[in-house]
Amino acid sequence: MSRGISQDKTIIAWERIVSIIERALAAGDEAADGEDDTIRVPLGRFLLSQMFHRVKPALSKGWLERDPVHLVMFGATNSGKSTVLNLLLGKISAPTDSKARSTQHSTAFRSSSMGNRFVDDFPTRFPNYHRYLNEYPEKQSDGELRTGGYRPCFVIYDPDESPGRSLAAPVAESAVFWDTPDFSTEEAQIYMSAVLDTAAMGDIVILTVTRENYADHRGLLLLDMIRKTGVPVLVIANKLEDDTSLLDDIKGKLYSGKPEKSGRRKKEFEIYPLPYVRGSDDDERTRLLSEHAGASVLREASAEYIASGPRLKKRVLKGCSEFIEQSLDDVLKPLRTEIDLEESWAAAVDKITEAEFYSRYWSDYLGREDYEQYGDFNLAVIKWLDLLEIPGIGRFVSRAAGVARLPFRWVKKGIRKILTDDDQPVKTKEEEVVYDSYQRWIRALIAEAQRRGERFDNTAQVKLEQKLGSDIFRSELEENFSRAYVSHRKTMKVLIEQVAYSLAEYVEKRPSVRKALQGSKFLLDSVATIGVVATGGLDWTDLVVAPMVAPVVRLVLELAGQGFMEIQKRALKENQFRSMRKAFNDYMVEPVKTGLEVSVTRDEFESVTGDFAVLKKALAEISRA
Amino acid sequence: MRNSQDSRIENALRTLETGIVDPRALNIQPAQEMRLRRAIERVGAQLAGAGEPVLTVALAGCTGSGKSTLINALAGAPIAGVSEHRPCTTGINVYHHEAVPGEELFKELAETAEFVPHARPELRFKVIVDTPDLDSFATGNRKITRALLKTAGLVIYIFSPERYLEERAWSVIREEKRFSRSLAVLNKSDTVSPDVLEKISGDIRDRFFEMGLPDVRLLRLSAASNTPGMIDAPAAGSTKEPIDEFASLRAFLEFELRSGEVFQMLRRQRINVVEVLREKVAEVVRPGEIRTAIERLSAAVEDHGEKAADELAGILKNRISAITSQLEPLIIIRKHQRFWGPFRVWLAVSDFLSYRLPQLVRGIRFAGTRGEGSIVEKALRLDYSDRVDDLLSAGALELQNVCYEENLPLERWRTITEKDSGSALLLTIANDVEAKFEGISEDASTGGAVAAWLISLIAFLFPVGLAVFGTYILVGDILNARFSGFGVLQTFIVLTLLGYLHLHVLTALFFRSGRPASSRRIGESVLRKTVKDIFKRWLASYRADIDADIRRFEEPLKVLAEQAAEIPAVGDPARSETSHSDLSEPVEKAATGQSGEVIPPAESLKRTVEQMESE
Repeated sequence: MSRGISQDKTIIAWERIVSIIERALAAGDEAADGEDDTIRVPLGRFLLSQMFHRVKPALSKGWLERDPVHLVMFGATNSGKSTVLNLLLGKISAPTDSKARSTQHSTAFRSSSMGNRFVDDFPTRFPNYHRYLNEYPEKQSDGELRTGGYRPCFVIYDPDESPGRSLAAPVAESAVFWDTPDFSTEEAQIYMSAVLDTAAMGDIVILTVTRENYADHRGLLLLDMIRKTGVPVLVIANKLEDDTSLLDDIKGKLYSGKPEKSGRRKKEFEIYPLPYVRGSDDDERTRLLSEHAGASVLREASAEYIASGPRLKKRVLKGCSEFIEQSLDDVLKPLRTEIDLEESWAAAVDKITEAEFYSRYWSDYLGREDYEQYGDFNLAVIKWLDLLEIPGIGRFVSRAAGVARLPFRWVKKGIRKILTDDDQPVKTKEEEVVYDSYQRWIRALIAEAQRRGERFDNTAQVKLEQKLGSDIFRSELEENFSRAYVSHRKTMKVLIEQVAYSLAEYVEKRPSVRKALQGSKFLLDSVATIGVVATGGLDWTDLVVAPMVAPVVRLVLELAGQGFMEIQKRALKENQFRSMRKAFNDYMVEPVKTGLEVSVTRDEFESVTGDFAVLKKALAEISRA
Repeated sequence: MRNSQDSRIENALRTLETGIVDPRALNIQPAQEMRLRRAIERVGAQLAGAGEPVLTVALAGCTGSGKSTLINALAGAPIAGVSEHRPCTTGINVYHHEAVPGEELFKELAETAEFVPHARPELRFKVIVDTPDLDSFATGNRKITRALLKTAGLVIYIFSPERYLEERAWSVIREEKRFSRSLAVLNKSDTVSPDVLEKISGDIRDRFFEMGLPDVRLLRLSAASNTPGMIDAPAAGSTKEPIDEFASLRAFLEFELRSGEVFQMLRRQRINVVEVLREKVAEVVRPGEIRTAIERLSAAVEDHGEKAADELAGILKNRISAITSQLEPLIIIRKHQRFWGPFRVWLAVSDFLSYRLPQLVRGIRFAGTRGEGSIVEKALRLDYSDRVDDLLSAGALELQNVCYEENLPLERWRTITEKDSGSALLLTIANDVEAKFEGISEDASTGGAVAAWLISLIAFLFPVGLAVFGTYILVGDILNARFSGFGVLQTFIVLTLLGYLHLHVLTALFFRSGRPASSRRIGESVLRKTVKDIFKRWLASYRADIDADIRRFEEPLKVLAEQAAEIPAVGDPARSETSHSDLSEPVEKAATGQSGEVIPPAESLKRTVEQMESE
């Protein structure tokens, strides 16, 4: 069936979306809070985590059978994540501490019988994380975290292995319970991606708040973000005194306390109060807590969710797809600005090229009055004159003239070589003009890049200005420039031939003109040959004969041409201009335009919509099945 | 006097503001602009609000840490609203003594804050500001809170055992630590067991130490249990008495903070904010760096001016020499105007014959050039203005590169240099060349007057002699009826002509000033000077703009620094008598829990500080 093909397509779409999100994240630093103290949620990173931990596994065959329900703890520092987890596990397995930041790694609690397939089967889950089995890695100190960064690792733990004391039966055997580090301390900003990775996997998220921190801005924003993915969130109002009014306030704040836009929430979530218990030590407190009625309510609620298994997973997957759809635009915003920047740069390059190169090439070379003196039209005329030969005898005569004048040509060449004394070929006027314009062009470009770099304060632009200023890039461009010129000349050769042929054709239709021209050409050639032979090798052609014959030729041309020559000349000029434009554009303008190292092209950027449609369809199919 | 101070500060602040909003040359990024604005706001809040030396004590902490509770504990009565519901305090509350005009002190808060007067004499010269949470979603007053923390003399950071590592709180401390003296309070000490509390205190101390604030005092207390009227049961099961250092906090605030210290704190906080502003300005404006960069730029301008002049001279060499050769007659004609009499006529005719005709020819030659202006200008412009345009823009771009390397603002350079066009330059050159020739020819017409007069006289004598002698001969001939005189007259006329020719040669020999050989150099020197002048003008206006910008920052900063260091004027000398005795009183009073009746007014504070400083 076509299932295989569409699966491949979906995977490719997934890969492309991921790569674009990754680039968007690299382009903009979303994690940093704003200058004005605003707190920003790591939306992009969470999106990426969703792609890796939920979407990709869901795309693989037999996902629903192989992937158990994941229940993830989520909360600020010291809000009691591990304690609540212990209540659910029915055993004191997760270490707790009254000191803040006791948990630093994500930990999965599951019975050994389940195995590690929920990670092993899905290679996109925790790919670069170090895995610990039934043991906890050493805690990284604050200094280490800050200087060396976070060593990503996670723990898989069997509660049966834990020496802690048993409180009650576990909520469910078939689910994986995840404990996560906090999200609110300074260090948390360093290991945030681990928290998000774990949270993105959750089919049920349990958020713990306390009476102290329930109004915490970051916590509320994160709750909002997680809820957008459609995951059922159970909020534990922890450490509550017996005060119902406070619980009401907590409910009010969490339900509608959305700080900026207080949009209505579609589905309300349950809030489970847990009391503040006083006990001699942590274990004692956990035990007391587990005996409390609130704990059993919580246990029942989560058991119910876990029992709904595949149905729950499918529902969450659907919500996740909606979440991606909603937030993709926001996350990709840095790329959009980059693309806009690139387009404005391209426009600036075009403008400069037009002003500094093309228009100069026209005004200094093609458009000049004395274009004919050195212009390519002359070459065309010469070529054409070569075509004008009296059949048979004419060719013979012109060959003879050529051969006869050969020694003299050599001598001339030799003399010129001695006079110019270096081996460098003499630059044509065109080369001069083009090279001069090129110098101006590159200078103007660099100036423009510098100015924009100053104004935009954008890293890509700054990089570009460094690149343009670098010698390597300049020499590369120089090389390209000579290549461009060679290609231009190649085109010109063809064009000149075309002009010559069309002139010949034109004359062909007018026999009298042709005869006159052929006659004079024949005359010229034969006189040249005779002259050379008669004077014993001296060539008078160019000095004496040509000036005498040339006016005749010209007169005939002008009389016969009636503007045809002019038209041809203009056409040639325009073609020459076009050829130069093309060569210059291909070899010079393009590399400079794309010199702005943007992470994405517009096409790639726009293709995301299509890719996402494919992905969305696949996910919808899975969640419907 | 106070008014004049105020207005000076206000003026300085306003100048700074305009310098930021509308810089003439400097390139101020939006982020930098925002940072500068913040610093300016701080200075404004600090300097404008300080009429009396009242120490501002700000309480800062995360939601639920118990800031308001602590205030109540300090006040000894529930003057601040306390609630379990978060966020509790969303606005700013200012607790001040009845005698202190709170609203006037914190003018910038008049709209947003609530002012609560109290009558506790211990806190007579201290204003306690309760701020909204640093982290809750009530973000409205966060900006003002940050500004307040910077201007406060003392900031008390309040932590709770549950939430003492919050990123929000610590990032605020990290930024504000330089501004004010800090004190840390670990509230709710009764909710955890003493050994846990010890661990937590260790954590907090470590953090302060790592932040470079090892001497921040950490007081552990339970504000709730120290507030009369609020009963909070201590943690059940904790065997030991909870640590409570509330008494030391109170003692610290009310007695240990001696008046002199308060004053110094005050002064320090004022100087600090200005110093921060100066740093921020230096970050953006970099006065020293920019000035040396401009020096280097000016050297480059010199070089490039020279280079461009060479280039232009190369381009225009032939044209200029052609023009100067055509202008030379002007000098000679002017020179000949010093003569008088018949020799002047002679010279005029000969000048016309030798120069007027070529001039006519020249006029016809350039008649095709469009536009107004002198012939010289037309001649110069023809064919060349584009090339000169290129030359100028190339020079401007190369210098822009120098600016870029020196990290100078480019935009302004560009606008300055863009204005100049090649044809304008040529017009200047043409005008200058003409003026120069004009000048030379005028010089030539004034010098050597005696020689000219003598030559003219001699030349005058010829026709006079001719006339007299001719008349004499003619009359003699008529009388004698002999007609032999004509031959003699003929000889005379020939002699006169010959004499004039000699005089002409003599004139040419005598008046050699402004001769053709030097006029070529004139053209070139004018051209070089004009080009270099353009480059110099660019530099001058660029430098002037940047200097103006820098001055707009430096001058107000100086004023502000002066004002900050100045001790604020205070009145109420009647109280100064009692103050001395109070100062000398021992601190022990604090332990008894009795409050000092009179706190010395500022006048004496001033003296104390002066004493302390002189020691």
